[in-house]
Amino acid sequence: MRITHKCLVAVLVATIFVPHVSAAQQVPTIYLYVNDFVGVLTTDEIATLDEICYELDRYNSDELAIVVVNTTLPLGIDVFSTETFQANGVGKEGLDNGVMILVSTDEALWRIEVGYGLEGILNDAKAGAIGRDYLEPYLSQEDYYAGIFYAVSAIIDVLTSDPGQPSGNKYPLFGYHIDWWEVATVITVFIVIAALTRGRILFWIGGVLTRGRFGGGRSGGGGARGRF
Amino acid sequence: MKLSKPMLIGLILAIVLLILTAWIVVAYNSLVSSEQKVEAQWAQVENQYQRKIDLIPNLVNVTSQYTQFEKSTLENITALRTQWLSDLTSAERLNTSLTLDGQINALVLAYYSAENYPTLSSIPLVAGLMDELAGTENRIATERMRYNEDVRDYNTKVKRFPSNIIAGMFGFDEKEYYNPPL
Repeated sequence: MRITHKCLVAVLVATIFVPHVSAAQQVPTIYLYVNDFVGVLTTDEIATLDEICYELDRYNSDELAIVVVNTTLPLGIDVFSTETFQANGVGKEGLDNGVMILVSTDEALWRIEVGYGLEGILNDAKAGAIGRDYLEPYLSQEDYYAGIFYAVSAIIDVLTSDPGQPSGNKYPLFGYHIDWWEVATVITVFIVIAALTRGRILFWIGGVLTRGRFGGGRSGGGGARGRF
Repeated sequence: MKLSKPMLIGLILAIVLLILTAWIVVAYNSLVSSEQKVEAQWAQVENQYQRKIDLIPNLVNVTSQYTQFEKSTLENITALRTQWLSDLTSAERLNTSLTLDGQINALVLAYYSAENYPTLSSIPLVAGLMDELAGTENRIATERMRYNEDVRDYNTKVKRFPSNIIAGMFGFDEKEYYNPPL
């Protein structure tokens, strides 16, 4: 009976530590706002970009994601970009106001993915122009920060200059996001274990507190890409 | 009140019948929802094709000003567009679209071979149009992919037991995937 108890505890506790993986295809899980999977940006640079994107979010609720990866193979940059965008829901649900800058360092490709809601003001031609004028010159010199920074500024210019966009963000912004399902699971597990072991348990907080997630926006595959 | 045996059997039968009916309703509605999703998604695919067709006149207008640029290809493209608009069946439109793709690809290739048209690639209008064309192709690919996913979900319901019984009863047929020949 004791052995069964311990096994049960072990299994239940292990499930708390299941890492978050985006469903289906092999696309990464991304968080607000800068996701450097390669390590080309310093902590300070990431902090500055995060800050800028946060301000944009606060200003008109647009979500600007920045993702740097080694490679987008085997999916290819277009499919990888759209799938990552959709799986992580960049942009607010209903508004679909998300933009994602994707840089693939090994392939030397960039892509700006634009959500449904912003296709009107940030059309393919503008996205392409921003990529060619701001990303390419710097990325080809391996100055990733400069390229991304100028591209972000240019995109924000376009997004904030349109009078049709809502100003002010009525959505509550969380730097950290509380995953209520995790909380419920942990509490249930706690109660079950407490009942089984008559109070002798350890309490893990585990995956309850994670970095903030995006709002659930969608993309139809719009945007532009290029080589650097 | 004590239930007599026949009444008890009657009650059980009634409950079973109720559950059966409920299941039929749920299964049928699920099939209907899936089918609607597929059809709505198909409309999206056609939408993107239309968007591509709409871009053509602009493309021809802007690039034909640079008179040396691929004149015969541009004429082909205009003719194919007219044909696309007058095509009636899905199959015809698909064929025309594929031929059109070939011509557009030839155009884009010529555009990007900078030695032939060194000035062309630096013209923002043309670059923008090329972006729009590439973007539209990507949108078509995305919507097609989503269409195929929806078809897969629908077909699974139509073929899986026990919902295949309902599908057979009410005439829900398997749908075809969208896989144009390369």
